[in-house]
Amino acid sequence: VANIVVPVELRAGVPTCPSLSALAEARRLAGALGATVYALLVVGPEAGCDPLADPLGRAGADKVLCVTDGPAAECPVYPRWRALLAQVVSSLRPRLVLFPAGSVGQQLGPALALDREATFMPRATLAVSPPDAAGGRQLLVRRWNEAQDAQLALVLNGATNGPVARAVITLAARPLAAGAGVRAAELSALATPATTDSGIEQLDADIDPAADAELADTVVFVPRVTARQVPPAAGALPAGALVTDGEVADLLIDACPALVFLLSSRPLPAALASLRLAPDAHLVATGTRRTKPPSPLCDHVWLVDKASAWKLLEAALLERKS
Amino acid sequence: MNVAFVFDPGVSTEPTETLALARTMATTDTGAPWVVACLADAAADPRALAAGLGATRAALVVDPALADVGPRGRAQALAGLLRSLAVDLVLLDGASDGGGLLVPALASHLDARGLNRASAVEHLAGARDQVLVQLRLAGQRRRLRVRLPAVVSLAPPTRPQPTRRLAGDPELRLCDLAALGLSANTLMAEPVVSVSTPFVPAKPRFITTVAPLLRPGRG
Repeated sequence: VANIVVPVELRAGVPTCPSLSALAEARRLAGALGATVYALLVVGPEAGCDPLADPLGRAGADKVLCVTDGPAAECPVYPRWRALLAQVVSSLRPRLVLFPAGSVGQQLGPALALDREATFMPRATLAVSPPDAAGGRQLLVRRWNEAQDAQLALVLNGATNGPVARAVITLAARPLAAGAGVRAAELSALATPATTDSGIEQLDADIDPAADAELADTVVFVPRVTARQVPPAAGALPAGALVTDGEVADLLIDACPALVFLLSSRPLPAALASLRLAPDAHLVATGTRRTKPPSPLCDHVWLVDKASAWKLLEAALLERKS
Repeated sequence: MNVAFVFDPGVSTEPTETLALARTMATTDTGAPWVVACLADAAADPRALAAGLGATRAALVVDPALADVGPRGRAQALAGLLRSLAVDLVLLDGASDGGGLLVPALASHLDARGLNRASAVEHLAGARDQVLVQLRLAGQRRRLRVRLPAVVSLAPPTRPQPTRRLAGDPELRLCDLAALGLSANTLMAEPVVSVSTPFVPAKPRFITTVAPLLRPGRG
């Protein structure tokens, strides 16, 4: 039976929304492939995993692997995670490691893929094929190339037949659907890896004021003048929605939203140039006529009066929240 | 501190903030930073390439076998060269880091610490074998003391910098794969991934409501 491992990111002791949506995605694949979904939790010695078995199980995990490793929990860089990831991967031999959207997957994913001779597919979209004559299914992993003009595709064989291919994947952030799992996950503790000197000491850390940007599932670029009017309402928006006038290029480098709205008729904001999306993400421009959008990357043009676009979108986002 | 700036000629041959940082990090006892790259095109002029970057000294692996090599193979070739230069700190632009793979691949070959997408690298007072790396990661801004040797990529975007005009020609070291004990056959290949031109529905699609796009679930 194939295993899927989802490293769960905690912020203030709570799983991030992209972590929960990655578990839901893993659950969807596991249902089709007959796989088991493992949530990997790395916590410090003062924290526990017990309270998280229920939310992670309801998000889609079959089992929660809890590792108590202070240095790894303090700072998720590969020299501190190498030993524990090696332990997890060698015991479970997962077909897939699915990192949630955010900076952690970009930091740990490539190194893990190299160590395990796996394929690294950042910002990927996953699909399961219909069953073949023998009842086997294949998993299709797709991502854009760097130029965003062609897609790279990786086919993984089904759960029980064919050679085992492995992939390390980072996903897009997605609005969270209702719980994919139905019960608390089974919790098991994994031995703390032997302490090794990683050569990296964290001197200090503080909360990044832009911390939520990298987790955003929906990004709305608005003209600067609108942005000034947005903040009072933006506080009421659902978690995961980021409204910006585009002056946040460096904050969006690690973001991978599933939905991007351009409510500005200006050329694409510079921030968007550094944004990389998954193949099934939607980039929506606005217009009042059926004219060319500001970028060939736009796959939708929302025919709407610009003056009312923000109000309508805000209402739609609030409806999603409810 | 012996510093190298690794660049990808296929991405950019302009001086960047990371190259400027490499100049700041290099100490006088070891000299100017090495500008290092793999070059597959024998017709390219390595001296002009180095001069265009304002490099005081450059070291290049030039071999046609590097034409279709991915980050794993490129790291092998670069690591052979960097080892011969006895480099302590390797800096890369985030845009040239092979999708994040080049840093850990180089770190593995050089037995070094590897960090992707740092926001800054600085000297640490009184510590010649360590650097201070600032990293935005997992919702926190972190300051890390990192022991050398280390390989660090800088988070994009890095803005182009004006080219420094040098009085003389840059010092240039050229080698091919054979000189590094490598060949086309021994370079590591990337796992097989097919490239496809995707089926894209005619776009843009004109829509009058965004509600369906906002439904939770699979976007």
